[in-house]
Amino acid sequence: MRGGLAIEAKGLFKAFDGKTAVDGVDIAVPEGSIYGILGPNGAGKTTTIRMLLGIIDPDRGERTLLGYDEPIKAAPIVGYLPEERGLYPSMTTREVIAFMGALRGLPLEIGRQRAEGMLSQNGLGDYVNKPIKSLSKGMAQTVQLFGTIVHRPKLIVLDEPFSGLDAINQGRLESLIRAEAAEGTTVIFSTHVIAHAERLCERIAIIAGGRLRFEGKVAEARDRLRPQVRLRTRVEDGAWRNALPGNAVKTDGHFQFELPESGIEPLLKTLIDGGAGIEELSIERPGLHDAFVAIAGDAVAREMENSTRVEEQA
Amino acid sequence: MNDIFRAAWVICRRDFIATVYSRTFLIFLFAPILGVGFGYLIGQMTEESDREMGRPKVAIVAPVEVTDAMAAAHAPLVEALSERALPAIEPVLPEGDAQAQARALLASPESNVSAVMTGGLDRPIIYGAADTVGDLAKEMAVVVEAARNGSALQGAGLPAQKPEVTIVTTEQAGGDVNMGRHALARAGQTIIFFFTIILAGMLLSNLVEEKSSKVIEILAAAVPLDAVFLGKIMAMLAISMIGVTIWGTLGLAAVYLFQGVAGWLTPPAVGWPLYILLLIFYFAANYMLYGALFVGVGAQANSVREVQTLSMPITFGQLAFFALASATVGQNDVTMTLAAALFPLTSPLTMIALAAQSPSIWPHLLAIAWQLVCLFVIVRIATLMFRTTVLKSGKAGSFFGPFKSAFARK
Repeated sequence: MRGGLAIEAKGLFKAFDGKTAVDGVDIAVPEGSIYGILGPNGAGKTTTIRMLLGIIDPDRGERTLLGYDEPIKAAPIVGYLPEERGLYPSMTTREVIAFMGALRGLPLEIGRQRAEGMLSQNGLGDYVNKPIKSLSKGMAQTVQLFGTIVHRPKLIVLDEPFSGLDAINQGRLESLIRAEAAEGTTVIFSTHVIAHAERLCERIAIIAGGRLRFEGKVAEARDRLRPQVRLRTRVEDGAWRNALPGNAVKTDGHFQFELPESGIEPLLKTLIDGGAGIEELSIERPGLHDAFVAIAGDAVAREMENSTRVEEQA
Repeated sequence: MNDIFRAAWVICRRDFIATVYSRTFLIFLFAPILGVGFGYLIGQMTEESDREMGRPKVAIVAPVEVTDAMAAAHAPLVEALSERALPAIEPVLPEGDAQAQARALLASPESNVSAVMTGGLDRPIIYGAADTVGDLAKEMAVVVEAARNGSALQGAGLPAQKPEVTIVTTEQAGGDVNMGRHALARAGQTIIFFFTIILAGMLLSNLVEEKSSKVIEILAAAVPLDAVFLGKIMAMLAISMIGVTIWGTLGLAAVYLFQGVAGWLTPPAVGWPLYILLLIFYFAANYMLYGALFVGVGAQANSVREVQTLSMPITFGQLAFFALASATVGQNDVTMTLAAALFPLTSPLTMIALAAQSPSIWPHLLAIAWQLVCLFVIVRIATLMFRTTVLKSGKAGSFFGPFKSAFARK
């Protein structure tokens, strides 16, 4: 493996029928990290994932998966949950999980034992011998997730894993992802819900319109925006007001402005010396959502929000 | 076991269990048996009427002594030559103008005759439709000649007597052996063709389930696509072997019950044990070659409806290849036989016919190797097509790629 990277991709390019789907995407996923690919629907996230896994080959560019140039060679140590969930409807839950493990080289008997354990521990013990077609959509999705990790892969790739899950199951999935990462497994997932990425990821890639807009640590994305200062004073006006940055605006009795380059201390001194009477002062770090808007633009952010809303309504 | 075969085995096992443990598999197993049974019953019921309807009838308009002489000559000829060799005859007493009576009989559908003969044994005249009367005239001439001979012997006061032929039996007759082997060659081809056509069609729709349930994405990410195709073909071969074993056993039992097992079949040129082994192998090879093609073609389809649309031209193709392989039986045309043996979709059929007719074993060793190469080529082409057209992967990959890594030392 090169430099501790579970996935390394450079200049991935893919077009379908002359239409560009992914255009020059670079990704570097450190081993043992939780990595998120963010973007609205149709941004090119799934195509990127499929190229990383070798389901399709890029028209241009290179990718390395767990040190292998041919991703299929890494298949026994990779788990993949596709966006479009699919299971054989007539197979029982235990057999489906064991089969998915067997595809990745796990002996069937061990797969069956692990499947029973996973199902029982997650309140699905009664469904061990039930066919997939008898399960609810959420249950079937959980079973497929178990099939994705039953062989204890070193890298788990989840394409829109939260989609279609209720809040409780979304929480469970977040816990599972954290637990896997805690054991040293690399987890990469795509999502159009920024909150999931913000809660889980150390690094993210933001893709929109097939192009990579940002790749790096979540903190780096947030650091692209200056922290916001909120200030409330007892005195309405005075010489101290000249010390506030030019972009300061007053709403609801609060002044709001970006933290000056010089930091908060010089400003505080001026406010105190000028007798402003500080009643409230807070410095807020921008969230990933704000960073996303700044990086990808308002239009893309609105698209993301719309995707989430449509899904919630569905 | 290397990765590609291990993965193929996993897929094969799943498909096999999913199919064999389903209720519909019983229908699949017993439908042909019921079909053959019903066919036999209906055949028995309709055979008699078909025999009568299918045989032309000639009305003999003549006095009783003439029609009796014709009937006396007709019966032994039919016994020796078979019923279908001669038309049936029906005596009709003359009523005035013979020509008018003949035309009236032919004009009436109730009379159910194809021709009418008048003029007795001395000056026979036959009336009938232009397209059939020529043949009927030739056949009736044989009967008239026999009747004349019978009448002549009777007129001379001599009894009509068949000449006695002494029979001396030998171990074998070369002509019979050749005929028997030709029959066996065709029987072997027909068995392989029949089982392939009824079983391999299922492979057309084999990937539709994976595509519609999106399982194909999981398979394509986990194992080489060649393993998916190979596993599916192996599973269907195993399933077909269950069918073939059951149907074959029942078929042999039926033959034993109805005809006995005494030497009614000429032994094949390579001997029975090897012939049966080759029959099994060539069936498997034929099935897998067509199966690989069908899985490949079916993989391009997005729905069962598309599969159904594809199945008819494919069946016609199979019939054409069967006809080509059948044409090689008993032929001295080496070029045609070689071409049919080399073409992958006729090779197993051609070679099983050769096993019945020629004792050489080395051509079979070559053919087996060749058919395995062809299987590899078809699976690879199907896989590459699937990657480029269905998965829309820009690069189809190297033709030998997965197999190189499959055979590579770890």
